[in-house]
Amino acid sequence: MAVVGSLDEPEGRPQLALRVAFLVRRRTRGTAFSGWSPALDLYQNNDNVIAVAELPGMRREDIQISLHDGTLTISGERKRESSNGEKAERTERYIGTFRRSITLPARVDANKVTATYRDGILTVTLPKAEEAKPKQIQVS
Amino acid sequence: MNKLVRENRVTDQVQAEQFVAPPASVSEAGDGYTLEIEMPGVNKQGLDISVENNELTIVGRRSWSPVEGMPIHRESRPENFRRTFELDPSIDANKISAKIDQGLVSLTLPKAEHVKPRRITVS
Repeated sequence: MAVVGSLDEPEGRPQLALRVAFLVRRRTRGTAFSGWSPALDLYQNNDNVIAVAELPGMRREDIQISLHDGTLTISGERKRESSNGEKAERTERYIGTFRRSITLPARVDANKVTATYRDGILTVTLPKAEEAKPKQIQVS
Repeated sequence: MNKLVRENRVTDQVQAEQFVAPPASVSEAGDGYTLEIEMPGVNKQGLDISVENNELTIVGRRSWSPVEGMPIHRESRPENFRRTFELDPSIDANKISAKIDQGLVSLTLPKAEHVKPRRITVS
C-alpha cells in the first residue's frame, strides 16, 4: 500500500523506491563520507566568529563540536526513532551520521567557545583571540 | 483508493511567495500514519497547517534572528518552507494532530474508525 507518490509518477512501489533512491543520492552529492550534509553558514564581527548550522530534529547530546588547528568541526548522529510496528513508506530524511568542517577566518580562543541549539539551528560563537581582533592605533 | 497522501507540486508553482520543499518522511502504523517534515528555524508560532479540499498544507516560516556579523560563507537558504499532500480517504482529517520540536514537524494522521481492522466475534 503506497502512501505517498507524486502526481506525475506512475503508481506502485517500484517507482516509489526509485524516487526515494534518487532523492537520497541527490543529497549525498559533494560529500565523500556522509549522506547528510547540513547547511553551514559562517559570520564574523570584530569580536567573534559565528557558525550557524541547520540540524533539525536532533538531540543536544548527539551533536559534537570540536576545534583543531583553526578548523571547526560539527558532527553528530541522527538516530532512527524506536519504531515498533511502524513501516516506512517514504524516506527523504537522512538518518545517520554527518560531519562538517570549516576553516575559521581568524584565530579564536578555544576556551571561550559557546553553543546554543534552538528550533533545530545550532549556533556556535567563537570569540576571537586578542591578537586577532582589529586594533586602533593612536597617532601620537 | 490505496493512495494515502499524494504530493501536489502544481500548487507550489503558482504561489507568489517563494518556498522550498523540505525533506519529509512518512511511516505507517496499524491505526494511522506519521509524517515528519524538516523545518529548521521554524517554531510553533511560524507553523501553519491546514486541510482544504482534502489537501494537507504545511507552511513553516522561519523565526528570523539576524546574526551580528558579516556573512563570509553561506549555504542556508532564506526561503520559508511549504509542502502539500493529498489525503487518502482513509484518514480522519478532524483528528490530525501536530507538534514541532527542534525544527522537526511531526504530524499524526489517524485512520477513520470505519477503515480500521476489526474483529468480528462469532456468537
